[in-house]
Amino acid sequence: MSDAAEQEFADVIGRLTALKPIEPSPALGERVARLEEASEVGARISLRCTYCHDALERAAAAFCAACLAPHHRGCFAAHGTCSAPGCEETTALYPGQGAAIARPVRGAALALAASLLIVLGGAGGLVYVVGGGPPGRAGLPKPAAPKPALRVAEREPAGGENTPFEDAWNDADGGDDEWATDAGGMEAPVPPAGVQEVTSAEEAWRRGRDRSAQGEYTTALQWFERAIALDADFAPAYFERGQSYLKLGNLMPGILAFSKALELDPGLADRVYNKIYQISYVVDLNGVITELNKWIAADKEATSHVIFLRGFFYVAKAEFKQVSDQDLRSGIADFDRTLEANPDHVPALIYRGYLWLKLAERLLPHPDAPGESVDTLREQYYARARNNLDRAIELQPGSGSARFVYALCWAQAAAAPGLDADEVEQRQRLAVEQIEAAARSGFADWDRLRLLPAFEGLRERPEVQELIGDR
Amino acid sequence: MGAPTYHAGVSTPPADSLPALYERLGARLHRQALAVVACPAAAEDLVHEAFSRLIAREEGLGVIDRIDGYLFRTVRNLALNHLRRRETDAKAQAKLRESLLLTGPEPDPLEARDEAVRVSRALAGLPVLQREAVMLRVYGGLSFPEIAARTEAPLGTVHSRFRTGLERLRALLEETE
Repeated sequence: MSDAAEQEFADVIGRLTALKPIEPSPALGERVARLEEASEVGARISLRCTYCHDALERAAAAFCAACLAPHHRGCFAAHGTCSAPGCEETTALYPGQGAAIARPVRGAALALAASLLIVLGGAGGLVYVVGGGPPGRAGLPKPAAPKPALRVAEREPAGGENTPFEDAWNDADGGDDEWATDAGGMEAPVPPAGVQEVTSAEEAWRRGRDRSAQGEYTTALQWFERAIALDADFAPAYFERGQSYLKLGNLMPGILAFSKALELDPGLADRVYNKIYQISYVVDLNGVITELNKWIAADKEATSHVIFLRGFFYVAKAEFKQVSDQDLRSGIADFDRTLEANPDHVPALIYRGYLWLKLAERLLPHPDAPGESVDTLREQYYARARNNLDRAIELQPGSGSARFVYALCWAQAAAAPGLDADEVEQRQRLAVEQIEAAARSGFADWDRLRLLPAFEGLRERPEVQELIGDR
Repeated sequence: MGAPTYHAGVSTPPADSLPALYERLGARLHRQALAVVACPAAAEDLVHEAFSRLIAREEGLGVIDRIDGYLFRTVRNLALNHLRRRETDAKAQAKLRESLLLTGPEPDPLEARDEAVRVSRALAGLPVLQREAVMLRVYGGLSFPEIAARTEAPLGTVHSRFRTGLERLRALLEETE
């Protein structure tokens, strides 16, 4: 029958066969080859200095004793304390040679970190533990650090090329699916006294927070596990569990604990995003996204929430100006998927609006818009951003973040080329209205208003000066 | 017109490295994706994604019996998912109609380029399953039973998609003349 069809349509087939399909570009072959390379090394997450953000070799790094944020040694000394937001630790750990030198500092967290780094230093590698001042001010010599308590230690290859983040990550990813319950690659420590006696999830969570505030993250984890055992839907316990993992340098279980917290309480999105933003200072975002891609491709537990989190990482890339158009569209696609599952997901609406805004900002004449004015397309992107934000505000009128992004949208739109003075004034006024609404909603990040270039044209306005001055 | 080239079966030992696998299958996988999504750039991304999924498999490559079949199936599924997402995006639809799917012979005279644009647009205007049947037959060199296996459709359906696709293609081409 179809032979007959081929004869009947010989004219059409002739025209088709006179042409040939577009071939893939050579770059695709290179991209695929890099996949194998990435896989061979486990898609390593490279380090960047938390202070100056430049690339960092592990051997030359100083790791914060409390949160393991990596720094150049000079950067840590220059800053005087750890420069990770919210961490003011003055002690750094140096993977190096020679005798271990320490001063009496934090207990459990330091012991864990030190033991981790000793192992990571390779055979015979030792750790300097020094104060925030010059190395000469190091404290009293201390004998060998305690026996490594992290399972990652047993899996470290002889070369010792990994970073704490990489190993923690790989440990979580490379194992079985127990990440959600087995302390993410750590041997179960001895439970703190009295943990079994506590029968209220909130009480266990509170005690965990107390331990965490003391820097005893491993103990804190046990309390959070107890809280989860008592109430598997207690979102704050998952959130704190994620924080503890991050403090211990155990990135992947930390991120996935956040995803569980978000699943249970989307209202934690801003706090989780702040954590992602912190993480963004110390890891290569592409590396994290690659790992999340693998996780999602493997269809492991909580995929939809991991997709939402991956969207966060694209937002973080946009914040750090490391973003491509494709990244922005990928982030939008992640939030699309989140919103397909839950159309009323306010954080996804806000962040999707934000990414449309960033796309509009980057819009240059491009073959993506054949025959179409770039200005028209930009306005369309702004309209998409506003649609998302309108819906977010409709669902949650008190959302300061939505109002602030809305203000950013109007401020940016006011700076678009080709507008007359009336249009600029109108858009700026709308931006100011949203800023005022954000202030009424308790929005607190006023440094962004002071610093973001998009608000440049607004900062001179008396109503904005008044707002900034008040805060 | 000569008969379209026929490609033999797809079973292969799974011992290839990724670059070797790409070298062997990359262009055909791209063609498969292109037949569905009708956008060369998206087709590249989908092929990349398929290899990315392949390598993310914890069991490794060695346990997949028919790695070629696995990759073609993955690319097709990804492409169909991509289309579903794109259906709601009017902008992407407009862009689709502008995509150049075909090129003329080298060197590329101006008339050949115009013809490539005309035929590309007509192909992009076909329903996806008809376009897939036509492109796999004409450019993929697959037999109808092979197309039926790859698209998981009855043989009669494939014949019918091919015929209807050509019919519509002829009409679309005549419209643009």
